[in-house]
Amino acid sequence: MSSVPTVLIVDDSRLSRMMIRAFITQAHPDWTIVEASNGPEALEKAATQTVDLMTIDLNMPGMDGLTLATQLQHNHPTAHIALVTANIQESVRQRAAAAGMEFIAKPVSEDSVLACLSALENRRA
Amino acid sequence: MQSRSQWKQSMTATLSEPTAPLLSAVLNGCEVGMIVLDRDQRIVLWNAWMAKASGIPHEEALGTTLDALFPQLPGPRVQQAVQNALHHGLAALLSQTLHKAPFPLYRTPAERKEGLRMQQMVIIKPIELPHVPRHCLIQITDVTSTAEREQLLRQQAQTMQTLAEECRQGELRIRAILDSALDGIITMDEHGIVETYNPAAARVFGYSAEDVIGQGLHCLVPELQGVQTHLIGRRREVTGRRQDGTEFPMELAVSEMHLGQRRLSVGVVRDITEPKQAEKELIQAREAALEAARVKSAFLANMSHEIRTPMNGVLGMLSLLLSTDLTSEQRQYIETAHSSGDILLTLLNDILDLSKIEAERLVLEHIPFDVRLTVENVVDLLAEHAYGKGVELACLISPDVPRIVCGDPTRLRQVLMNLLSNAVKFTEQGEVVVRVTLAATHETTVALQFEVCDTGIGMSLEAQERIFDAFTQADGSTTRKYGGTGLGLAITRHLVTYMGGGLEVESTPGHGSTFRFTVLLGQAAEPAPVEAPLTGLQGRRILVVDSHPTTRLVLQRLLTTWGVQHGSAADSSEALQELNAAATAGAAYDLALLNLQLPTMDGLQLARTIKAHPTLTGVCLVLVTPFGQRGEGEAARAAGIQGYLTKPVRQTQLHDCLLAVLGLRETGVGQLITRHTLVEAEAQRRGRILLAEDNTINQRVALGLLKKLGYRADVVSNGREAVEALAQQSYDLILMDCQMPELDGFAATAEIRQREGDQRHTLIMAMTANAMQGDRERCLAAGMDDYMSKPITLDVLRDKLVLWLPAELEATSEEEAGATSTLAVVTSPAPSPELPDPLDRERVETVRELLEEAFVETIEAFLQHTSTQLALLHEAIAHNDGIAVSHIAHTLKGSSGNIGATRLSALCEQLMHASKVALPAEVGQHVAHLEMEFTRVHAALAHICHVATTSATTS
Amino acid sequence: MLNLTELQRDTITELLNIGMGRAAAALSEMVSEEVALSVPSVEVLSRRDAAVLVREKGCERIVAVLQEFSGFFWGDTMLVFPEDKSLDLVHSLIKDTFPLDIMTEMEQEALMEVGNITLNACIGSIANFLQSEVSSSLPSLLRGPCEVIFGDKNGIQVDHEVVMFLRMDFALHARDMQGCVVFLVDSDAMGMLREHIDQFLSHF
Repeated sequence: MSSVPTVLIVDDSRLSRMMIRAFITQAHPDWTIVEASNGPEALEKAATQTVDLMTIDLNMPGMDGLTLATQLQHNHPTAHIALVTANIQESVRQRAAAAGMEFIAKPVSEDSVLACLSALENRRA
Repeated sequence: MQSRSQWKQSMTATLSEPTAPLLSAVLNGCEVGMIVLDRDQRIVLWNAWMAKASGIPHEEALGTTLDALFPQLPGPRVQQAVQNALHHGLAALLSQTLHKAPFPLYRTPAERKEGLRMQQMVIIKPIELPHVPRHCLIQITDVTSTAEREQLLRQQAQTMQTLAEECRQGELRIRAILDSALDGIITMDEHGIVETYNPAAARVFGYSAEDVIGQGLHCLVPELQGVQTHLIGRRREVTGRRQDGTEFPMELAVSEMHLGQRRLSVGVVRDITEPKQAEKELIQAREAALEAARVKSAFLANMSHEIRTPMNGVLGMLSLLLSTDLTSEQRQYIETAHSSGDILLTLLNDILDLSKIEAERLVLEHIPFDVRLTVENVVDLLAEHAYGKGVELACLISPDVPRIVCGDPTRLRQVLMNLLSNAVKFTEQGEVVVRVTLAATHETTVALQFEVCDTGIGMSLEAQERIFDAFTQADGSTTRKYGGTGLGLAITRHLVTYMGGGLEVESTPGHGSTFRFTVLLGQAAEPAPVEAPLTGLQGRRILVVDSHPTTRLVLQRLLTTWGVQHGSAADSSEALQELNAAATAGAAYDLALLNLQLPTMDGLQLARTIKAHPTLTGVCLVLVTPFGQRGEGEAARAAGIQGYLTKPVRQTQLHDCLLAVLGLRETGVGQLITRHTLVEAEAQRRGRILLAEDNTINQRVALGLLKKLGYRADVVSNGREAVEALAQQSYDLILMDCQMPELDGFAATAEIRQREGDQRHTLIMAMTANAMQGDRERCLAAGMDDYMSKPITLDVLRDKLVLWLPAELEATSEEEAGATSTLAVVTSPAPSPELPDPLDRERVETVRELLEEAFVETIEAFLQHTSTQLALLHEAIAHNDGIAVSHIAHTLKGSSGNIGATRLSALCEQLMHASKVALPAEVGQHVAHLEMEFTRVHAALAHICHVATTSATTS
Repeated sequence: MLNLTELQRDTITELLNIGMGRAAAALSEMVSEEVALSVPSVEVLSRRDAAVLVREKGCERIVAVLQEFSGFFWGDTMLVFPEDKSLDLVHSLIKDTFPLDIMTEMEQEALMEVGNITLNACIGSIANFLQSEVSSSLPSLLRGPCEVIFGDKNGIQVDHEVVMFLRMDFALHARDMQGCVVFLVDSDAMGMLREHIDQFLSHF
């Protein structure tokens, strides 16, 4: 694990990526942020570098977010994974919890992102 | 008047800015609830409807929040919607279906009391107002009735569904029933058109439903056209027609069915081809069985005669053999054969009887007869057997038993015979008593109870149950010891049942048995004339001396009836004692009735002793003996005995004898009063009888019989003489032979009747040699009163006389068991060794007894007569006159039979039959045989006459 | 005017996502079942073509809960599902009464409420996100062929009108039911929306 956390943002929505990036950068300007807009790209990028935190949009075309998340978790057991979704149904929350992943509801807010980050920090510590 | 546009113009201001009062009026007048909340959710508007529905007045509501007013607003929905409206301007609809009644609002005070909330539809909208933040409008509509209506609709729908389901189930059920029924079920409309047709019907008829539905029923049942209302409610057999054209028997049951307004009919059909077939077969089988039974019965009836005849022949021949010269060895063999034959014949008779009874072919006669006589006769028959064994035989007939009854004397005799012979058979010592009592009297019938009691070996309870079964005996071993077939009792029981009674038995092993039965007999058409009470012996004193208690009892009872004072003694010494005692007391006995067989001193000896005694010598003495031995009468007379009777003693006989002995009748001094003398004396009192008979032999025989029975008769030889005799004097009875010269019986009767007119009716009894069907009718048709068939037997003659001559009701004749001293017994002459005896010795003896002095004369007359007839026979043959031959043979048959020339009689009969129509070729042979036989008969009879003449005694 | 940049399109999609997320949650809660969501789509075409697209999804005759919205942009939004499933949906909401084969008045209201909640959640979350004001009308229930419902507005035929057609499909798998939420936004409104989006994006 590197000293500077690396965050992988996976979301097909550019806006969403922008927003999350903005929130993270605001709080932690030094952190490395990597973006992917689909599953395969995410896997590729995760394979080539150490990622500490991944935010994964559940509702993507192609490989759906949960499958990707599970794969990534498998590949990178130490990474902290947060599922981001507008689909805030209880069942979804439960699936996230079952997978051992965090859940961030869309629209993401500064607070929810920061909360996630602090969780990561706690882990690291 | 303003125009519309003018009006509009003037109202614009108002319309654009309605006045507060107007608005207020509208708000409070409308029929929906209105609440307005400000940004802080305070109530700024609360219309009248709300106040009424919530019960919260306007003043109270204004300024508060909904939460404050309604602390229990259910769910967050209202709150959320208010928030949405206030903050986002989003309008919301809260439907009644999902929320029912969010606010506690009520339509009426009553409903409020019951807590029945109003059903509400709530709309929450933002409203924009100038210069102020958004407000929230809550509009509440009462949708209760709609809700109720919908609820009702739902309920109805549910009911409908349930009903539909039930209906469906019902239909399924009916369908299932129709489909599964084994019988065809067809429903038809008012016109007989088939509406439904179940699978079973399809199976029966072969047609499928499509073929039949819409067609009339007559397609299936051609004989039915249209609606057959008479069929309804009935089940009947019709003919059905299958699809393949075949017809079959069918059972059709039609019922009516009401379906709403319609009246339909339901037909249940069943193919009864098989049952019908079975029925037919059953009927056929039944017919066959009945026919078989008929054939069997006819066979039996025929066999009856067919079987007996050869048996009689066998037995007859064996009898004849016995009367020939035989070695003792031969005699032994033949006697064995004879007794075997006897048994066989009895068995055959019993079997045939039983068969007849079981085939219900037995028909009882219904003729008047004398009960007393019948019983006494049966007792008589067994007397010899019984006394021979040392068994006492007694008969007690109660005085109230009517003399004449209607029934079948033969069968009654058979029953009594069976029971009595059994009783005697199974008793070694002691007595057998027959009792007859009157059990009941009804309008036209009387019930008589008969009891046969014995002191014999008795039988166990199990045996009692078995004995009535055909073919079983009480004890298997008894067959060997006592003989018998075992059928007798079965038949007896049947006969008793036929006669309207039941046969019971009581028995104790070792102590004896009692058989008891009651029969129903008809009362005599004319009541039996009252007997003159027997008062002749009133007040007399008589001593009964007999060792048997029963005999004493019987005699004593009789004596009591006659008003006699009696005493009894069981043996000689007692008797002497009694006599002396009575004499000493001044009440001497007038008469002593002594039994021959007494212990210590026999009757004769006792008689002598009494007569020797000075004080007792005046006592009259009557001896009673079981048998009538030769020379006994003489010995009795010598001993001083004045009366002599044989057992079993008949009542009136005893009475008359006692009377006679006591000297109240003029019968002559020094004469021994026997039954015969009594009979003679009686004869005068009997009716006047005329005998019309052309054949001398037959005349003699008839007279002899009559005399034996105690009657006298005048004789004529043909019908003409009979008519003339009747013209001269009156007769009570005419015995009329049917076949006579000059005027035969029928013609004579006719003339007599004609002459009689309405006056005195003379009894005419026919005597006919033809015992054929229709004879009786012919005789009766001719005007005769009754008939007898020849050869006439004693029994029949007696019965008839008793019947027809009411004045004289008691015959005191006896069977030939026991001769008296008046006649000598003829010894058997030596017959020719090669050929069988031409004579029936017994018969000859009978005749001899009957005819007495006239015997020889009669024989000679017979011989003469027969010779003449034989000559006539030759003449007839020469003239080829078959009828004449037959006639002569007939005559000869009768007379030779009468005299005891049985073989000759048989030959004559053969000739008679053979030549009835035409002379047979071998007629010469017949006659030759006849003549040869006659020669032998002639010789035999001559021999007898010679003996008789030389040894005849005087009375 | 009708053109959208990729980022704009992306933003609108995300808006829909977010909106539908809320809406699905609300709907899921009401029907007590999971609502599966598809990827949103943004098209610019005529109303009639929009109807065709919806029909292709298997809804020939539809039931739609319609709300008009207005605010920083305006248009129609509808919760759409096949008519033959509408009764099913209603009966899944109302559990305790005996269901009929027809939709009663009350049941229609229930359906309207479902639509109302769902659509309000969608619109509300979009407005929230963009931090702008938008308001909606009360729901009304429409029933009929897609073309009629899409192409008819207050009796006026508008099927040629070109609109921005936003659509998000959802499915209730347990009920074998599919529907969608659509937004029909006319060109003027679309312009307004574009401006708002640009303004929003400027913050990032």
